Amino acid sequence: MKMLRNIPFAALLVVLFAQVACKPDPEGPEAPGPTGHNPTPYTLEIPPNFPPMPIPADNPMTVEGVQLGRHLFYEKRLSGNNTMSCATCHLQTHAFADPATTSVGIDGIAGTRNSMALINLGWEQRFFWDGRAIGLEEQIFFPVRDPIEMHETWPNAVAKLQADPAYVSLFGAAFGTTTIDSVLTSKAMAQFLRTLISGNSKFDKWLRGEVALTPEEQLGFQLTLLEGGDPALGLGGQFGADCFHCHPHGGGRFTDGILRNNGLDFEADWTDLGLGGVTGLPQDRAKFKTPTLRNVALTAPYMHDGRFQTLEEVVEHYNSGGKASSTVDPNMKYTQGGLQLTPEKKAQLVAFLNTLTDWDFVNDERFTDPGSPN
Amino acid sequence: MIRGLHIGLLLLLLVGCRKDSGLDTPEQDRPFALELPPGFSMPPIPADNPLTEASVQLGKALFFDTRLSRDNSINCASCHLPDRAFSDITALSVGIDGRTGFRNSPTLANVGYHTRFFRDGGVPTLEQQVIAPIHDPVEMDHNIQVAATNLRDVEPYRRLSMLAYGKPLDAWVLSRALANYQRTLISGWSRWDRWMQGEADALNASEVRGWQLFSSEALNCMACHGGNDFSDHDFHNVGQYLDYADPGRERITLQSGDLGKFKTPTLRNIALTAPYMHDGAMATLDAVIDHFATGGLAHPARSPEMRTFVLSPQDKADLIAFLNALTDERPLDQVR
Repeated sequence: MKMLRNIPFAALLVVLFAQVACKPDPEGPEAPGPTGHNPTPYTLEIPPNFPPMPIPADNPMTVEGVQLGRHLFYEKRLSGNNTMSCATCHLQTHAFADPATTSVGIDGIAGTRNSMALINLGWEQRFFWDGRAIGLEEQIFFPVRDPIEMHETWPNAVAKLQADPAYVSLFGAAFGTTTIDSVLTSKAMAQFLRTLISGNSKFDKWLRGEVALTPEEQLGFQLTLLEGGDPALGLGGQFGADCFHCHPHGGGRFTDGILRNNGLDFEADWTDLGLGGVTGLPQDRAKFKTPTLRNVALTAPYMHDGRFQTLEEVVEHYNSGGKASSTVDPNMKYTQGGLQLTPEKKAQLVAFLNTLTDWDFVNDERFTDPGSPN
Repeated sequence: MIRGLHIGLLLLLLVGCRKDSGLDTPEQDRPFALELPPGFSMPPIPADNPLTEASVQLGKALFFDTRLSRDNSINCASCHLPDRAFSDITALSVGIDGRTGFRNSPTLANVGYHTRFFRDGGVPTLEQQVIAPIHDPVEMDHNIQVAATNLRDVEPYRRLSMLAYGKPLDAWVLSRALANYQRTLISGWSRWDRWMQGEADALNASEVRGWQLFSSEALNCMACHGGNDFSDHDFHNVGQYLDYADPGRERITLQSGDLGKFKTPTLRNIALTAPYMHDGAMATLDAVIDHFATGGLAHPARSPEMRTFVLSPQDKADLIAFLNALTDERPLDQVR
């Protein structure tokens, strides 16, 4: 910086130009642990085509924290009548989604939305279909106290854990305190959820040059990268499926995490306002979070309300172009006329989507029910 | 060969025409009809970048295109979230490969009225601003020329670039189109605006009281947060730290008197733009108000406009109610 002080301002501007907006934090903050408490750092296995995972400074990954979070994920005592855990509606066999159209809580009341798959959440910033929680730790507070989900108060849930010596010992190992609270509970659960990484599908192996895709699967992948629609309409169509804008494969996520209206319903038929229900703004109505496409073959039914049972129906929805409304996403460009995909192309798309299934993920023993914490 | 030419000509004819304009009318660009809230002037438009329909459409397509990042993973909207008034919910925005930046992404609302860009004002035009996030290694880590070349023959870029600027997409076109899209992000349609225009029931009593507190001498908010945009668009040190990790405006001017000065952000849509301050260090409006009530820390460059004040819990609730009434009731984005 001292040397730069002598050169003319205009030249300096050029030097600064590429860096003006951001540079890395020179001193990354570290959360100092209480003295005498030394948990073992947990090393995440990040697939080679993925970016590093951002970890909150106040919740570093530890072996003990992840193990505790795994117990808590399968802990039925977090629900009002001790019958449901997170895993009740997030089944590993379904990539931690729920095969029920809308999940049913402890009082037998069905919610209004389909349980989302829990995949690569460490890279997401906003949670739930309506994006109402910002950060994984915050997300965890919601289902426990939701009256149509686990219907329990946090003080009750924490008291049940505190009364179990096995949990007192697990919290002690993870956080260096025997006083259990909801914040530590959410932190442990967030640590476990960050380990739910899926990046070993056939598609990933193909990217790494380990296996071949069939011609049909490859053509399906190509279709996702092409703009949709008839070029004669002048909107830049390439007769593709136009998936990549919202489900980019770059960075491994197959979602950009943005909330959108993908044209499921006309305005008169909006019952769930999605993001609009959170912000109260008319322009946010009927917008929902773009989900990842990873393991999509396992996460039926589809959409926020689970209205589609098969991938073929989903492809047909996009092929139809969706329904125009005041908040429909600009990337849904073909509400008039649709994408006009041929039956072959639709089959190619489904074949490609099936390559995103990661059997190692759904069979990973590190994610299964560890049993009672004793 | 000749057949190929025929097909080429036919395609040219077809792509040259919009469906709604009829096949025999050649498509023409036209001025973008920017809607302005009552009392707002037109943002200044550079002579070499007229605000046209096609330029704005082109800019919008680019704004949401992940192909501006080196690994196709993020777009401008990744850190300027449209439903958060084009700001970020993360304190320090995350670029490609999970790289963390060192500032909070500001809202883009009314950015067309700014005269210097970034929180330190290091760039004088919106067109030049566009280049930085594309190149920044902790943001998109790409190259504007490579990005433009890659998209040059891809629709809708080929068509819109010719239409708006008369040449294929290149860095010049890309930066101008993105600047023009950002100029259209106008904010000025909140309940407070309606109230100011005479709709007495647009604000409730608490919000009106909050506005009175806000505009009072005692709080002195309007020393910097005045005008249509609730910002003087100038640079001030508000005593957030005694020792700033980020030098702010001093980084550009190299004047020690500018240490810790950052551009006054607009307060419009503030309910949506958390977290706050240049580094996103304050998560809630409560925390921000508490900070300003202390008058800030005694940094040598602290603004003389900083005052200490005392608010009752009711005062504070009213002030926050007023701030929450500054959220636009319609989308910032006017491009359809």
